[in-house]
Amino acid sequence: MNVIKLEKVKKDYLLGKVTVPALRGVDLNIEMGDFMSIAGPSGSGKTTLLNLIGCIDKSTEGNIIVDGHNINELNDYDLTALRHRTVGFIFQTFNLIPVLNIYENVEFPLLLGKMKQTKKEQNEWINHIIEAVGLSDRKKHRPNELSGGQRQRVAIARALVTQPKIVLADEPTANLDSATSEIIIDLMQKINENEKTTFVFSTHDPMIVNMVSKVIPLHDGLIANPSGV
Amino acid sequence: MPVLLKIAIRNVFAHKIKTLIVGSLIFIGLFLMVLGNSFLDSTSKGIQRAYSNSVTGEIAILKNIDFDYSLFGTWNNIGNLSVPVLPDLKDTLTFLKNHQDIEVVTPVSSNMLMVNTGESSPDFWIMGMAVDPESYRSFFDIEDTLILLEGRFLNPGEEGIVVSSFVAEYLLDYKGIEVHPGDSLLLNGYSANGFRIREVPVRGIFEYQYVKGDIYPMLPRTCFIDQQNFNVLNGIVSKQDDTPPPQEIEDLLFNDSMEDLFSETIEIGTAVNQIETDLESLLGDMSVRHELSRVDNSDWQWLLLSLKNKDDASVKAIRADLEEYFNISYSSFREKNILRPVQIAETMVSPQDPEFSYISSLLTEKEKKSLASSLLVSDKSALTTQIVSILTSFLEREELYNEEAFRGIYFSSITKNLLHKPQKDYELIRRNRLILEEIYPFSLSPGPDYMVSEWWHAASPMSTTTVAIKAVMNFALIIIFIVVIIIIMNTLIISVMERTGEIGTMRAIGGQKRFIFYLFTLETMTISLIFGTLGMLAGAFVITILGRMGIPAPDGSILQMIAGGNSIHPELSTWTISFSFFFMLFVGIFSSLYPVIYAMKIQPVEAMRQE
Ligand SMILES: Nc1ncnc2c1ncn2[C@@H]1O[C@H](COP(=O)(O)OP(=O)(O)OP(=O)(O)O)[C@@H](O)[C@H]1O
Ligand SMILES: [Mg+2]
Repeated sequence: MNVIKLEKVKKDYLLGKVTVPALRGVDLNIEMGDFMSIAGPSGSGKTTLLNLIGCIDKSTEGNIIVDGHNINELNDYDLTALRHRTVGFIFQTFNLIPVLNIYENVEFPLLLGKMKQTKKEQNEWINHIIEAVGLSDRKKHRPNELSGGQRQRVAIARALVTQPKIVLADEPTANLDSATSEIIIDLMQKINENEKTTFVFSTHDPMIVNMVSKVIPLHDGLIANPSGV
Repeated sequence: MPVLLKIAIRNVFAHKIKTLIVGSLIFIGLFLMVLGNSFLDSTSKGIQRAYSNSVTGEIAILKNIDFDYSLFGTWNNIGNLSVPVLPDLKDTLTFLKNHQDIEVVTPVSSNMLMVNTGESSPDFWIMGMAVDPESYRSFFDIEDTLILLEGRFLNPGEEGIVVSSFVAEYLLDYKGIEVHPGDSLLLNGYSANGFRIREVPVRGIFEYQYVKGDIYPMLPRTCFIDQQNFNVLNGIVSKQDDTPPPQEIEDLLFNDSMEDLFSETIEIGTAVNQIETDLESLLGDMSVRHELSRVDNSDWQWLLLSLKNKDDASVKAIRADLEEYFNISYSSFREKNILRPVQIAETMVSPQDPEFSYISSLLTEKEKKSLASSLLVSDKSALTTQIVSILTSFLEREELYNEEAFRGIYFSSITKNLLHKPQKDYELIRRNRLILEEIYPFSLSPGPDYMVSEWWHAASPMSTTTVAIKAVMNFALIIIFIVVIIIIMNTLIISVMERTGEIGTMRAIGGQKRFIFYLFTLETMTISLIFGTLGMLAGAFVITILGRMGIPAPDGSILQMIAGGNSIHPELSTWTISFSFFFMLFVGIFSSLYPVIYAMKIQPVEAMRQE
């Protein structure tokens, strides 16, 4: 089943009066449970593509269907709700909320929507996720008291806490050393296996390319040779 | 959502520079505001005290008319319009003098008078204030409120003028006329009844102790004059004199023709002397002349009341009491357009009057018939009864709200009673009222159409210096707050820009626009509340200390007038506190409005651009 479907998607950026084509007609299907990466050189359009998949930007042309919704047809409120429900983001720069501690950062997305569990169940769930990323002893710390790898793990926990269908990670290893990178990817792989959560990365890190089950090679805004690895 | 508050409060501490800039501005703003308002409060109280103790009393009563008069002319200064005299003054005075809450009553009248300074130079206007020396003296405690530089105040029954030091100095400096007790001033008066001229002896020169007229021009020109000369100069002719003055004297004194007085050959001085000589020869001795200068109890424009209890609440209560007693609440009368039968009775005294035919044109055929038959009745009071009952049924039918009928009757009664027919038939009105009192027991009141007002009405808003101070201060406050709002706005915008990535992240992981709105509004409100409250407390602290110590006001300074005494004791009022509080909320909300809108427009994709 397709969680995400892109049809002839184009994205132009306007730089003053110059139009910069970032994506020039991308067709893509992402299936439930995929553990895949978009790979390509710098400037090829990886971030742009992830933004569109994650519903935080809109295409210039073409349709994007996320979890059955054509995002071109949604208003800001519904789009935000769809993001909240369906997508988990792991930002390259982690983007944790500095004034909240680790526990509160992970809890934060749950507070943005309606409460689906009891307070107790919710607490257990958050603790479980924090434990899964191995930060149980750091719950009360603020993000600036953690290392880069630890912050990345908080970001993963925050992306997973709402149990989204798809988790997007833009260059998740760019700010980490290679040893930490491997641990992080390993962690996500385990979650993918256990929870069947879909993961889509963007990267030019060969290690990720080696670890994922599918690679989408992006070149100059076009998918060069769609293939599984 | 508690998470909002948690984030907002933590951000207040996390962004220290922003918090300090915005917070200290709000702190200073509210500190100044509490200080300024408390000073204004106490100065306006001081000015009120100064005016009501020296010029107006706590309550002033005048004829209910469509102009806002003060003791110093109309409120908007449109010119030399004289206030009509109070009707039925004798009854009213008796009532007021026996009133348990009223300490003293004094009648006064005022109008512009011209000092005749000779032919070559332009003449000089003063504000003539006619007083009843006996009651005026005790009313205002003139030994304290007036400084007599020369001579003395008027004695009861004596003619004369007590000139203000401003007028005396002006006459000396610009007209070369020296004025001292024992000299005389040649005064001119203009009124609807013509031009009058009188030579009035100067009795003294005075200065107010507590009220200074630097801002309002008429106050320093105010001179006290005896009522008889005032009334003659203003063409106020007594209607209740049992023995009217002989026609010849009337003609001489109230000569409408300027040419008679100022024929080419006779100079002003000669003309006046001529009058005096003619009077003497006409009257033979001084007895009739004494009769003329008799101060009677009628024909005053104002009644000033000094109350036993002078606090604001009891002044308001007594004012309301008196209004009810005079069976008129000025504002409700105007607003509701309710016509009282008393007024109709006053107006409808004769079927020959044009307003009568106007009313009859509004009546039904049946009412007209019964009116026609009533006109056959020869007894005038029976006629009035008939008319009143017909009109009453008419007004009831119209539910007393017929605008057209109201205007017709109201304005005709105004014009007739006030302008065209100064000599109205008091006897007839009294009789009509007796009849009406049987029909309408509630209309038992001794005086019709009295307007009961507070000190500021008589002082005129222009003389209340607080108006000027308030205007200046409000202007300064507005400028300060515009600057404050701009600086706060700027600081907040910079802060929002710095946090673009954070806002984008919140939006990207599912935060709605309104979450951003609440978050930033809460942040600003938290800062406003904390620092604003601190500012208010600091202001309150300073005011409390100043109130205890008092700020001394040196003798003769403008500060003394503002203080209404020898020191200012600023007080904190709940009004000041609550006004400042709401102003603080307003500044908080207003200055964060644009930054918050800016924040709400930040796109979720900005999360990706965080460095
Ligand atoms: N906001 C923007 N305005 C204008 N042009 C943009 C913008 N964002 C991206 N681009 C352009 O679009 C193209 C694709 O950019 P994108 O960021 O998607 O590349 P990328 O594959 O993520 O590169 P990198 O590996 O360096 O992150 C580039 O040519 C870039 O200059
Ligand atoms: Mg990129």
